[in-house]
Amino acid sequence: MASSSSSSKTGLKKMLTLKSSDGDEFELEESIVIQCQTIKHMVEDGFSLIPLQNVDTKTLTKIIEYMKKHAEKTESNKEEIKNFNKEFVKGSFDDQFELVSAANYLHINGLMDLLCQSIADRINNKSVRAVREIFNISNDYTPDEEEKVRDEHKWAHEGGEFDESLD
Amino acid sequence: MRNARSSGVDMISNLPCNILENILGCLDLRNAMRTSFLSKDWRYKWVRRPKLEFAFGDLISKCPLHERLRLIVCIDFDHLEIDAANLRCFYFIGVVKSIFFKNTPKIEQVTVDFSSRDLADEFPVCSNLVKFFHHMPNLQQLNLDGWVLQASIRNVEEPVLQFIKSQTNSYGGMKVLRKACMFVIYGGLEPQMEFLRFLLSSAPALEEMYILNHAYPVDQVEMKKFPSASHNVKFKYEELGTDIVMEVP
Repeated sequence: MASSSSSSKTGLKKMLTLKSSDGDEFELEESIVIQCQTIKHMVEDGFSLIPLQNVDTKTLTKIIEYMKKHAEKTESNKEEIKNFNKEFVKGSFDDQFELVSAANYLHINGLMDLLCQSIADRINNKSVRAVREIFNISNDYTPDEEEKVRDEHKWAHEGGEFDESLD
Repeated sequence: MRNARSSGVDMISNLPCNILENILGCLDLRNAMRTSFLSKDWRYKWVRRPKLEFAFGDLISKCPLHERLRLIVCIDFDHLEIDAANLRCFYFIGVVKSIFFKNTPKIEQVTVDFSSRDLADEFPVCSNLVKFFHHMPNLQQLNLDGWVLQASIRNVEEPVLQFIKSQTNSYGGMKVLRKACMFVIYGGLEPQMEFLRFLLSSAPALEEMYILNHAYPVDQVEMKKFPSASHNVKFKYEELGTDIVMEVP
């Protein structure tokens, strides 16, 4: 295998190329890209051109934006990163599901947690009806079956006010 | 407000399992459980959450698919009723007034440890230990903190000691018990010694009786005199300092 450390000895920043499923190529510093465990392992195996067959250009662009910002993370810019994260999850659900699938495939744990939390926030304390509506989940229970399931976990829906809004 | 809904396709239900587990893990138990009302597909998704925490006073845990349950530093609830048909391993550290194994036909490993001696003093803890063995035909390993027994007798309504004394065996409830570990406190006061006697006379397959002594050593000579249902019990003794938490291998 080619040595992955040889170029760092020269003092130059080692560059890597990521290739999306649409064929677009993005050149990035290794230090940014190794936040992603899957790529890190490929780099350790000596790859410098990394084809990502499960990630399209649109999704990859967003992921690179995330990795670049998080590579800048220090003790002093915590607030800035927090605001960035907040803005980052303001996409459509379709985008968020694409991103979370890609983050899962690429093993970017921080991004995975951020997106899962954002999706979970849209379920938290919502009424069942609202959650179905928000996520387009069709209810295939018969009224009897639904009654039975609700009966099983009575305490989970009793005594609480649930949010009916769809935002 | 952001445009969150767009394609009209149910994408969330089709996410890979580990992502869904992660999402459900971001919700508290109540909210995670409520997802079972969404659709048939969602009925049991919540039980695969990576963490399971209990935030309610009186809890009936219905966990049909759970195989391992670890409750650590639980001080929030009074009674714990375990109804888990697939549970194999139960681990508890905390304080509770009673633990009742209601439906645990597959359980193999049980650990009960009162982690905080201070709390045990504060709350009159009664673990209705007697009922432990009614529903554990497959129990192979038991790790028990002597405090469970010690604290039990302080509550007059739960005369565990009398019960243990009056039993000659546990109705075959410990048929396959191979390993028992007991954290003995104060050199083994009566309830603890009675329980050990009960255990030895009830477990024909017992191979190892591990005694962790706390503060004072247990009377080994007396222990050896207890009638044993198994012919191959090895006794092991170890001295421990204070505040040791039992470790399960």
